[in-house]
Amino acid sequence: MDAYLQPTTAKPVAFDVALWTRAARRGSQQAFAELYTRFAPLVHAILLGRTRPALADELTQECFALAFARLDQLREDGRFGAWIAVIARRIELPSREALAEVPEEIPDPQATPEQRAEAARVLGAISSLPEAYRETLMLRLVEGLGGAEIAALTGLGAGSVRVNLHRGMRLLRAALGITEDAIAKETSP
Amino acid sequence: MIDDDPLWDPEAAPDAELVGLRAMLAPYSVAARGIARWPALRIVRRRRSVGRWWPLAAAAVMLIVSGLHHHRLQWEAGRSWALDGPMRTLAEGQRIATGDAGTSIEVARIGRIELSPDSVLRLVETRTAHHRVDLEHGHLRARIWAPPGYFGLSDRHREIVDLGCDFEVWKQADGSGRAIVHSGWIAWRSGMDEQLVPAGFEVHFDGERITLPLRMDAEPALRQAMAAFETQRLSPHGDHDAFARVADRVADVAQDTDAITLLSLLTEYPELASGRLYPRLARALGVSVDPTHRRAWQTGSREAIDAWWARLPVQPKRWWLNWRDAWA
Repeated sequence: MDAYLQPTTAKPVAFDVALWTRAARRGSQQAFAELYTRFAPLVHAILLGRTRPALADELTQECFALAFARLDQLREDGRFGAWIAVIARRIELPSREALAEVPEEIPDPQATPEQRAEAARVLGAISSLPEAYRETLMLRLVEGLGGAEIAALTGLGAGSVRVNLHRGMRLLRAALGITEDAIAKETSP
Repeated sequence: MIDDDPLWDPEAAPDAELVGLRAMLAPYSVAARGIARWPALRIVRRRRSVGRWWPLAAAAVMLIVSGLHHHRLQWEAGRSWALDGPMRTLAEGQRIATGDAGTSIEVARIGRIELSPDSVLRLVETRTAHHRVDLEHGHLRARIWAPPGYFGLSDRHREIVDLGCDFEVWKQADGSGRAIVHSGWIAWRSGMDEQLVPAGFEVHFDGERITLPLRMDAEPALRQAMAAFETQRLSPHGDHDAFARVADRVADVAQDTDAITLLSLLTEYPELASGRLYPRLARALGVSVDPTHRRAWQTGSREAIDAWWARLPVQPKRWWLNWRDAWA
């Protein structure tokens, strides 16, 4: 599990979105790869808040395929991130019945059934939060990004991200039934 | 530099709760699930069929025949703007600083900016459908007759985009300021944040955040309540109950004409629909309180939120980002 705790794929702030988007418009495979590497954590975090993990993986790639095929509809090259985030929030999910036919997968084979159940409960609690908190917390807790990386990726201000993280954590604790007393006990030496 | 807030900075002193959550959820990340790299799918661009474009082509011909409108919206990339005064023209990348007297600037062919005395403005970019200026400090009034998004003010932090309207902006050198809208709408955008501001409303901003829109003639009680709300809103360590209390105070003093303020507030903080704001907004919009709709709103359902935006008597020109036809 430790291998997953390494910083993930977000790139430094200097990433020039408009430049790579223009190259993608010309059909550059490298540009597709750069934009994907940069924004996949954002798209995946949004989808993970909407649906099951296996489907979120699949739809992440589908969102990019859709976006790249419809780049002519993007009005401002520099806003690729915001645009693909809208696509991820609105892409149609399979019906409940179709979803029922997708087998549950085991994301971490090394985890015990109890640990897996707890992870699913926490993921479900994050998914139940309002969008702003849900997406920021997914990026922080699932993708492992720091506040500055989240701000760079989403284009939100640092202050907004910090507020969303803290307010989101409070709502998450409430959703999980964790009291301040329990946290104090847990963290006291 | 390491921030001492572990929620913000993963490099900060470890926090047991966060470490536990992160270890539990890391197997769901793109890196762990093996989808961090682009799989080089074949991208099939949609071809525009002749049949589908025929009516648009016909419409374009009509526009050319009718002439002026089409011509008015076209602008060669980088072409200078005309302005009153000794400079005569303003080139892309060039600044204009007014002294004791203001000046008037032609925005390509789509409108006009009145720049007040003691102001500095830079023409950032100009081409058909995309004209951006940066008001470094001072005051301007812009009157634009063009489709949404053609004109805007932008700097490192944000964009104020014209959605077909008449508006004024005051800005200090530190990036703070105020905008008021006389007609139409503007959209304030910073990253994925978007705030719509209609005619008759004002917003204040700093280098990063913008306040929620407030009627220019709002009652002092609402101004006070909103000021208290904004203070709580900007406090990451603020108490949730205190946040809910100031939101309820806003609901108590708001009038029906403040529906946009309430709608913007509940759109940004849908969890507050559990309090007094939701029934107050329902009353302002003339709809009944529906527990199912309210529950959906609390979880941030876009359908639930959009349904009440759609009840506004004056709709914003449909903008591409946070609006329901952004992705169809």
